[in-house]
Amino acid sequence: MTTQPISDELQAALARLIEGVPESQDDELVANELRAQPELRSQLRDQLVIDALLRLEAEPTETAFVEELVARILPPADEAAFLRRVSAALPLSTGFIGKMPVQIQGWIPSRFLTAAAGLLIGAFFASIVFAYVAPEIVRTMQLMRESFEAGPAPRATGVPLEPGMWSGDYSKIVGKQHEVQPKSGDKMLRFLRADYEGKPQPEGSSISQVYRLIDVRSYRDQFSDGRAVVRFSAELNALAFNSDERYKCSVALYALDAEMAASGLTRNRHLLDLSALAMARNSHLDLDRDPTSWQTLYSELSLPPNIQYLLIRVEIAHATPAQVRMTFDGHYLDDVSLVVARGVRKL
Amino acid sequence: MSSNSTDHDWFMEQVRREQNGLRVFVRSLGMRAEAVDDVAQECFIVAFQKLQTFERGTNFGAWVRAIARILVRNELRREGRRQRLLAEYVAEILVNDEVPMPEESPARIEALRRCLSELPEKWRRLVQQRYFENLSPSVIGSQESRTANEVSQTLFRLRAALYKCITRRLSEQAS
Repeated sequence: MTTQPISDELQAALARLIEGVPESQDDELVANELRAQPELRSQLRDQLVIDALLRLEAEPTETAFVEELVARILPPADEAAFLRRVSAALPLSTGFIGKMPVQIQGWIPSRFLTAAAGLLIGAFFASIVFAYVAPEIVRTMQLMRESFEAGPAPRATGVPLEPGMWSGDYSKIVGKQHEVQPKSGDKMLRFLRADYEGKPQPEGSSISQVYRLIDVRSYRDQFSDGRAVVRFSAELNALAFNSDERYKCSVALYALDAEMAASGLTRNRHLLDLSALAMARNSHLDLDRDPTSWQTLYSELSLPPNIQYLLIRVEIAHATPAQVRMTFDGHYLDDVSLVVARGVRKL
Repeated sequence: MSSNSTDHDWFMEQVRREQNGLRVFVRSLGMRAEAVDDVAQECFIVAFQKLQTFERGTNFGAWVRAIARILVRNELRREGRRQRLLAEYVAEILVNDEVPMPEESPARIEALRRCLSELPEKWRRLVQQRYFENLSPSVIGSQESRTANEVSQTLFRLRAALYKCITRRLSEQAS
């Protein structure tokens, strides 16, 4: 970075620009100076480099970045594709058959793998290469399905510390609203606000989040070899909104142990990211402006052997600076599903 | 798209190695911080689709950075996408200002960490608040009876100091 001094006014304008909150008078000043001074361009570039390095240092996201990239390159278009991906990615085992709980949905046979057939998928999913051919089945288990038809109303008390309820920012269960029909049944969840009761520093919040904590301790013997994958899917929709607005949806899945789940540390996003046994995130669903069409949000997480709780977070964000506000005018969630799958050798 | 699993393994290895450098580069082209990951992933997706045109043994990092430049130029032409830019004129100036950028390296990260540890306490706290706790300048300002502008300007001076410190450390190492 050059040490060329710049005026206070210009420095203030650049500082606001880097933070993404320029004032109207900044544009002309900064544009003229940037065009005239190569040294200033260099300073701005170096500022952005350090800003990016600090963000990476503060929140290491290498794994999430790669997982999201894989999901974008090979989107899980349907259940069968998901099961093929699980087949391709997971080593085989023999200890699972006969221990499935009553929630078993069925099992789907699929042959794999020649060295070429499944590898395109397998290599991307987990960088695991199979060099042999074996008969194989995939078992699936519905861990949760939620269409908001019954059950307790969602709480607005932030991240839940106990399982069995939806909690997070203000939301409510509603029926059909204007052009938006629930995806299934008669009810759906509506995101209301980007804050919850007693949220510290709610100013500037523009992301509405709902969470659900799921106790998976009763399935631990099935996850104990670390070869199970959970697949999340949910449907999202919105009332028609202005063309200059953009809403981005994302999901995060966290594998937790009991201590972490109950400790309250889950309420600190940074600590949650750092302390979870495993996590997955997908933030690449932009809502369309058609209230008659629901859009599906996916994510997948390989379950670590010591998982005791699974925490899911679904969120919707005001995605342009101009529209940032606390409230949401008509944004909905329905048909949340968690399916656990794993490949097993056919005996 | 290549169908060879060895290619895929090799590609993912490049992604793991180059992702942070690419994200830093994308930000330096004038993208908003929250759009950086999106754009960087789009670069890798294009690279994956064009993998057969990449000549092994040449510089993969330079190749994806060239792709990034093209994507940001495209961004400037697409109405709905411009909101991912800090400002149109900024991205336009920076993306066309083709100066060489140093490749990201573990040494630079290590230098950053050491420089952070040398910052005065009040600046370390500011880094903690802005980057580690993700508080906006206005929220930080309200906690400390300062304006958002003052906080932003302090962050500007702080980043300039960090850059100078990192450059000095790297040149000392090189010599």
